[in-house]
Amino acid sequence: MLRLIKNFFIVFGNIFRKPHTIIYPRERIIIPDGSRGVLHLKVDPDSLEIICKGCGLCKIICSQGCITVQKRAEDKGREVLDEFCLDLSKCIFCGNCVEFCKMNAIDMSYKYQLAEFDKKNLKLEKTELVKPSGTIRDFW
Amino acid sequence: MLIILKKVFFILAILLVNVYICEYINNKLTARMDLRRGYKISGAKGIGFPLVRFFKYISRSEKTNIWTFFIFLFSLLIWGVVPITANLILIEMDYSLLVALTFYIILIILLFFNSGRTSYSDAYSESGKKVLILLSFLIPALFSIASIVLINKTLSLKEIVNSQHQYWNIILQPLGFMTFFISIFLQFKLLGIRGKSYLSPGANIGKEGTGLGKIIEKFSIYMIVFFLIIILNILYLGGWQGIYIIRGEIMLAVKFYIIFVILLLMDKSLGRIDSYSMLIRINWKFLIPVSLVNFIVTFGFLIARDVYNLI
Amino acid sequence: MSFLIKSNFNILVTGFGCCKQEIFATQCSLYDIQRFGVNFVSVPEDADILVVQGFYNKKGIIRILNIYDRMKNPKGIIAVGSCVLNENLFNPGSELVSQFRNRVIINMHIPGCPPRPEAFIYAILKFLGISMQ
Repeated sequence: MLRLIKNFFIVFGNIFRKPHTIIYPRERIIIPDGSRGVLHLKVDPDSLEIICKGCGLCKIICSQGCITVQKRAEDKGREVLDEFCLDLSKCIFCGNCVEFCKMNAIDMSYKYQLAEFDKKNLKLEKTELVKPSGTIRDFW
Repeated sequence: MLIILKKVFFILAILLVNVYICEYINNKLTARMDLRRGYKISGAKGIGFPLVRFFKYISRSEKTNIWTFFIFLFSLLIWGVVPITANLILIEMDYSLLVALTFYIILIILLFFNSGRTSYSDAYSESGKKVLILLSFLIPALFSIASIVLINKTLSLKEIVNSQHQYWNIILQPLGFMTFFISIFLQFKLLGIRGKSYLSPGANIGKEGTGLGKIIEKFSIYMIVFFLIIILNILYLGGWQGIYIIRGEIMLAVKFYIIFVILLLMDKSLGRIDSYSMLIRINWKFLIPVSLVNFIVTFGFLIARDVYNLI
Repeated sequence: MSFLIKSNFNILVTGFGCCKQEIFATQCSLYDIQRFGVNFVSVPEDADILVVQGFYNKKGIIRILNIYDRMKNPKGIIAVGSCVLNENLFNPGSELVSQFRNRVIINMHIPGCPPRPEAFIYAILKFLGISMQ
């Protein structure tokens, strides 16, 4: 009975308090630091080239097998990344590939709002993975 | 004839407007009590919510029972007997309190028959138990009503209101008011205006359902709640008696919405009912003895005053 | 008709995965999906959208298909999490999921293991066509 009266005043006070709700399209929610989103291929700031050389270690280490890497040999024995494909439908955002990369060529962006009508759009190519370099944190 | 039609039209309009407002308040306040914002999509802080919900229900066809028709009929028939204000009454009779209570009991029993609407296997046995619990809350209410009738010496609702022109019955009968209020609160809880209805069978499917039957069921539940609140107003809080310069109709509306909001808040603060034995315990160990004591005390007081001229 | 579906929307969540927790977190006061008129129901007849998540065995697939058949038109499916989207740790052989995918049309895919609640709201808003600004 005493608990009921106490609850009554709590509930009555709640009507006049400010709601906790974040208004989705307008306000922003700050996601925790270090949360893992979609892979991002780093770009060398000087030469504007992709750092990744396509060694394929991330492909071996990935438990889901969602990364496909192909490299291509150019002249003078230099190896260049030819194809880098990430299948988002398989990816579980574990971050293993980032840890094992020797070149520090990939990192996790904060982009996590992903939804597609068509499943084919979930396969991200190299050009799309390079894109979100500008955004450090993807807010609401 | 024309006057009666006009009255019917007025009563229907008042009821529909109040159902709309109550549904809106119910949705918005429930959200605010959870520190949420509630429905907002149809503009103007979600004022179109009941309308959208209404169209959503009838947009999907579902087979309806014959009972839904009877429920609709009886939920409207109550207002032929119960006066909303002094003029808004269709049939004036001396026994309107008894007739209204009979209609109310019939309505609740009809809701029990309607519970076979779902495909749930143990529908009747489970909701029958709850309907019996709900009806057992009428016993303390009846004792309180009986002591009111003894004081005012009439069975007509209009007469009861008119006899309260000096002071409200709540001053004479605080204990009776308390038991009556708790009993209608627990009925309100079981009917399930906010969230799920406990009358419907199944753990979770109370708040769901589509089609015309669902709308009528919801409407009838609102009618029952309105009936309970207005009966409480008439019996204890002076009905449509005005105070000083404030008109009686405005006073009635103010009292009605205050009681409705208090019921919603109490409903939220009690939380979910898991054990029905708690309800039975409250009823038989607290409400019925208190109301019985109240009835005996008033009865003894009246006998001592009127028959033996002691006081 | 489209306005009605947009403004009041019933969702049935099935499956045993951990995405369920993240989806039901959208009901709470921080995210409050009810602002968009989205309700969570538990009867297939009332639902507009079936949310499929988590891992399934042979019997589970049959039950999901039964639930989908009981729903009334117009209806749709949202697939959440990598268990349903592709083969996963819990779903080693993908033939069950592909068997499911051959029978029904999945309208919306949400990747993630599990996706954040915001991602679910984002998907719902994208599905309903509500503008993001």
